[in-house]
Amino acid sequence: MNTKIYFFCFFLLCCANFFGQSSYRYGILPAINLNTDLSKKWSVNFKTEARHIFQEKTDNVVNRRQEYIHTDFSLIAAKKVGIGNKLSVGFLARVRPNDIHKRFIQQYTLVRNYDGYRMAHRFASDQTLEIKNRVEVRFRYRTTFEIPLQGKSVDFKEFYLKVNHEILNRFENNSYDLGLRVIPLLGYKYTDKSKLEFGLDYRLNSFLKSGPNHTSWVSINWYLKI
Amino acid sequence: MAQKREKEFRISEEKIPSKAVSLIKSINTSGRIKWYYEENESGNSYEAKFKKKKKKISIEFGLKGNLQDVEIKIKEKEIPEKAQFEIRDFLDKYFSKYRILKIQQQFIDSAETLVNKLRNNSLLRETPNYYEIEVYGKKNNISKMMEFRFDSTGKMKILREIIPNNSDHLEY
Repeated sequence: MNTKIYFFCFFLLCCANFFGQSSYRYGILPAINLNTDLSKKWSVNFKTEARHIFQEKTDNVVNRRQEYIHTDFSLIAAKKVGIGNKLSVGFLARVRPNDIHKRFIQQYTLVRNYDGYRMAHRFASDQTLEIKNRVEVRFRYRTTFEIPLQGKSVDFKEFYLKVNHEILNRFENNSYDLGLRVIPLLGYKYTDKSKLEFGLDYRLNSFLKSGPNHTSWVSINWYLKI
Repeated sequence: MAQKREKEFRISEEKIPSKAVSLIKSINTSGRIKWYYEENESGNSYEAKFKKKKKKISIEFGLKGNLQDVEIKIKEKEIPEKAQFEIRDFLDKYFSKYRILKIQQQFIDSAETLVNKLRNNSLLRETPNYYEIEVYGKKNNISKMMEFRFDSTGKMKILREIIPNNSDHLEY
C-alpha cells in the first residue's frame, strides 16, 4: 500500500510541476527493435528510434510546431553470463539534421520470473561524444515489470502491461543532473517473436537545480525476433 | 527431452462446468477464486486458483468438470528432511549451478477425498504424491529452466524443459 501511495504522490507532484513554471515538450517516439540469436550464448539487438515533436513550452511561451528532431540507430551485442543475466556492449549513432552524436553503451540485465509477473533490472552506463569533443557520461538503473492481463504469463495473442521506471545520473563538464523516467505501456504479443507496445514515455530532468523540464512522448515499440 | 509448453488464460465462472464450480464452492476458500483455461501438450483443462490458510492452492479439472489433481505451493523447508535431502542431492548432481523457483505439492486421489481434506484443512498437513519443482539451472555450460517431478521420497520421476518466454522487450 505504501508503494501505491508513493507513486500516487509522485504522480501528483509531477502534474503540479507540469502546469506550473516548468518547461515541457511532447511528441512521438516510434521504435523498431530487431533481435537475433547468434549462438546459445550470444545475441544481437538492433534498434532504431525516431523523435518528432508536436508542442513545447520554454520561458512561458507555448510553441506548437511539427518538427523532426533525430533518429537513433543502435547495435548491441549481448552475452548470457548467468541464469537470466546478460552482459552487453553497444554503439549508438544519433543522427540529427546537422550532426551525428556517437554513444558507447555498456549494460547488465537480469530477468526474473515470479508467480504472475516478470521483472527485469538493467544497470547501464553510456558515454556520448558531442560536438567540440564534449563527453556526457550517464549511469542508469531501470526496473521493468511485465504483468499479463489475461493469465499467469503472457502467451501469444494476449495483452500485457509493461512499466519501466528509470533513474539517470548525468555528468557533463563537472555538472550533475538527475533524470527520472516512467514509461507505462500496453503490449500485445502476436507470437513469441513479435510484440507491439503503445504508451507514454514520461521524462523529468533538471529538477534539482532549475525549473523542472518535462518531456512526454507517445511511445510505439515493435519488437521482432528474427 | 520433453518440453513443457503451456498457454493459459482467465475465464469467467459461467463457462466452467457446474460440477467443478459447486465442488470449489463447497470448500471454505479465503479471497476470490480465479478460473483459468489451460492448453498444454497433454490436453486442455480448467484450473481454479484460490487461497486457504494463506496457502496458494490450484485445482485442475477435466473439460467435463472431473477433478484431476490438487496442487499446493510450498517452501522448501516444508518438504520432509529425508525427501528434501534426496531432491537436493539429485539437483546438485544434475546442475553445476541452480536456483529453485517454485515448489508445489501434487495430490492425486478421488474428488470426494481431496475435497473433504481441503474442507477440514487436513490436506495442508499431508505428504503429497509428488513434488513439482521448477528450477533455473546451468548444465554443460548452458542455462535452462526445468520442471522436475519427484515422488514423496524424493526420487526423480519426470523431467521437462520449460521453454521460457522471450524477454527482449524487458532488456532493451
